[in-house]
Amino acid sequence: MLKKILVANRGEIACRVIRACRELGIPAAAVYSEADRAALHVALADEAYFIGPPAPLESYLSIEKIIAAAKQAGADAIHPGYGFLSENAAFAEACLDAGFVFVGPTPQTLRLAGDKLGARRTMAAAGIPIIPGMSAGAAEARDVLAEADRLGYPVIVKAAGGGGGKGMRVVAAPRELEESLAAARREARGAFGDDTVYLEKYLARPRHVEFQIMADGHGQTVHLFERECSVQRRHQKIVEESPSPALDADLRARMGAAACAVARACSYTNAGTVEFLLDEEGRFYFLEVNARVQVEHPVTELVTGVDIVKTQIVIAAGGRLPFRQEDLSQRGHAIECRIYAEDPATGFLPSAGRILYLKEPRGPGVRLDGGIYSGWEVPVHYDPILAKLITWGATREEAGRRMEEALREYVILGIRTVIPFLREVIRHPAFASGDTNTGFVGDHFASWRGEVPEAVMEKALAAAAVDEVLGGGRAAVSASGEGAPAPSPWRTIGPWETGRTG
Amino acid sequence: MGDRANRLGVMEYEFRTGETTRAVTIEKNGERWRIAVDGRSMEVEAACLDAHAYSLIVAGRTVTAVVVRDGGTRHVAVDGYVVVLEEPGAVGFTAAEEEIAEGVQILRAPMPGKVVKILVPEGESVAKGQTVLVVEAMKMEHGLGAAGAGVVRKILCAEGESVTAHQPLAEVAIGS
Repeated sequence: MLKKILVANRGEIACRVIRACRELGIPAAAVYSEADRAALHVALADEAYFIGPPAPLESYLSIEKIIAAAKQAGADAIHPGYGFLSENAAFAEACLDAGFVFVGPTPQTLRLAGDKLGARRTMAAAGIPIIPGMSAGAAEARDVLAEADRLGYPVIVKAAGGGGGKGMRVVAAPRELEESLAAARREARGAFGDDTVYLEKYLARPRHVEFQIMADGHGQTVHLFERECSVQRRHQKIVEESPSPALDADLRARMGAAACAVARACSYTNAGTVEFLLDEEGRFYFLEVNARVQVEHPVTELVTGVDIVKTQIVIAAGGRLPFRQEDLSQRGHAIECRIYAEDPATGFLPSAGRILYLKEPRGPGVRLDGGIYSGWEVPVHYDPILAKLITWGATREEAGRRMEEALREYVILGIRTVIPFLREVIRHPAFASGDTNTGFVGDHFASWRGEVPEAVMEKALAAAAVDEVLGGGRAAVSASGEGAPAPSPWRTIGPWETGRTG
Repeated sequence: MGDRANRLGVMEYEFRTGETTRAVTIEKNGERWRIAVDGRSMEVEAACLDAHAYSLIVAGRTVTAVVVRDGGTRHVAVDGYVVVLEEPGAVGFTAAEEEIAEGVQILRAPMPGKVVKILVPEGESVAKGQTVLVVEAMKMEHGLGAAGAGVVRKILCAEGESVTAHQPLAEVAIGS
């Protein structure tokens, strides 16, 4: 088994990987930028190493600095998490060259799967259905116009080296093409260090259904069934679930077989995800391979009972998959909500700042994978994901009710989050009936402004008044520390004075 | 603070939420509190759960609320909702990134972040909806556009500059 693992990531996924290491009895070393000295993953790890300034290119995306930290830690393996360098073949290669085990696929597989264009070519050759689009990177806008005309608008610009919605733009008309290409390139360069982009036909309102795959180095490849990830904003998933309400046993078996065929076509090892788009007629198209642990892996863990992150480590250490395809089954239903620091009422603008109060939900079937704590300042430099709330139930309805209740209990104050929005998504009749597609948020929530019912507003005002009289003597929490707390009049009229501290 | 003691024991507060100002009074009534919101009265039993969380009982119904102060702002969580209350007179910004006064639109940073691109230099004309500059935060780009056809009168930032929320970044003279 491995002796020490360097976790080359931050936030909730670093915390998740560190927990897996500790369960396996393997010491975990964290890395942190200047912005993350006080981050939760640093406190949770056994060891922590400083890697530089807040800008990702100078810290979490610096291969040189990560390798140096792993050497300093005396680690024998590196787990990349998701995002950052996780799908970077040059990084995986640098790890191997420096003598580290890379917890993920081989550099060859990463090069193929991570290059969305190369993957499209390979899958087409292997007989897997793909979405119409370019098979090489886009040049300047005027050269791309002809290609877009051939595909027919709308088209979508995608980063060849990307994923997770970064560097992705839908283009509805020719005049938008140039600016969208430029914006996608800038985002792609910042997020992945590669600004190659390409065009695909944009399918309106498909379902996004993906299959979790796992493969060991001994020739065994299995799938852990599907995740339905159709509820998205800005082409990024926000609610995921397993099983998908759209699959029956036959379609599930065919897509699962296709997912394993995709894995074999790129000699896949370790954990990965094969993404498909599913149209209303039940036709599915290969979208891409996410060659890393996926944000939404917990729904699969809850439904299959497999700990994906621990299994990743076992496989990376040279072990065999501890199960075969026929050992796996889906039990009950799981839903995940991504808790982003964003304001849904203003088009999901990021909301950085200090978390002034945090209360996480509890209850049967509730799991919370978080990377935050009360008093922590959410940095502006990184992805706005704060935590993931996952519920399990014997049925989809039970998982949904548990999610609704858990979201009601979940309190994050100080920054805007998507929690109130998510609760309305879960309650929405279209979600309740399983009728979701990638247009769900635009179709049902385009004009959502987070209106607060008057009855709730009155309770809030009553609570604020109670706080004035009962909380007036306490020191006010101030994000900046600027300005003295406003004096409560309660403190100035002797007979009613309570809890005075100074 | 716009609150005042109008008579001994009855406290009156005003809170602004969006465009409206709401008046709340509270007075001790035995073991309970009598609270009136815009004149509608309720009897409330209150217990502190921690420094910010309260368990309230209103006519037998329980309400758990969290109130956190941040300068002149109160963040209140109740029933899964978050309400932001401002003290009257506190400077607030609406969610819109633009404001127009006397034909001049001020483009402000909608969030803390970095200016990644200035697309229209000072002195050049813009079409309605045209993106003037691009701000990046948390790895997502956000374009700030002109509210109408006009001329970029001033650029108040530089590419690569870190900016704070609501910081003015450019001025567009609309209709010129």
